[in-house]
Amino acid sequence: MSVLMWAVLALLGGLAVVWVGGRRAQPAREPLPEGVELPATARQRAAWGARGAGLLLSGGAAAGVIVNGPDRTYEDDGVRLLFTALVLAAVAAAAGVTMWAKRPGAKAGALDERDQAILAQAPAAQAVAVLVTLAIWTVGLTERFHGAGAVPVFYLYLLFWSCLLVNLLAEPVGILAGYRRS
Amino acid sequence: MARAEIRNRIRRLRFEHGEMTQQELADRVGCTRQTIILLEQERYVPSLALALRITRAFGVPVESVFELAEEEGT
Repeated sequence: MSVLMWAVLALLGGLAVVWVGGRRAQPAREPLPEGVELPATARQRAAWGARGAGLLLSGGAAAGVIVNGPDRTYEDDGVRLLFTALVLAAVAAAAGVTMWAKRPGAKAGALDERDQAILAQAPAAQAVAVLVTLAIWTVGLTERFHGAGAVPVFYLYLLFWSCLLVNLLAEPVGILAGYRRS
Repeated sequence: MARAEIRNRIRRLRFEHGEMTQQELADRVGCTRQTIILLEQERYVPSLALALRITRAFGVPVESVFELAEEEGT
């Protein structure tokens, strides 16, 4: 299996752990009767924004690596800078919206006790998700480069950014899982 | 989670208080409209502080709003 496939697997593995962990952290609520709809809270909308922006920008960075190939992405300064800029933008978007979501409410009731409980449980799977991402990367890189005895620097660079992205996306995903279930 | 074991009359009390909207009640007690909806559907058990703020908003004692549900089969 190619390193890119391992990279995709590592990211998907991390995000899957985030989703499952988020669901397990919140007990399932009975479904609402037909016709009863829940309006999204401000924090829920912020989490959607963080997840959307983070996935879009990191997806753009991943697409750049796939289109250009890992070697060109690393060797070509322009492509590497574009990749880094996209990943940094994804990190800034996810972190920025999460920080905004956690700020003390400007209006009374904007962040109530249920919001606070959901926010507190949202990072439940964050550490495990990063560990799973790291583990899949390690297995993939070992399998691919065992014979060579060394791993190209670019893959370590990708490993770091993917762990950071999973860590940052874990929180909004955990928040969304919390609102769906509690 | 099973349905909350605390029953409430929030929906009825809202209508008895000038057809107060869910948003108005949420603003008065300092929570989101989503929480009020879940309370009315008995899918969420409020903290003591929120329960007391709700009873204060209606000007009635706690037991007029909330009651412990009878256990099944009793």
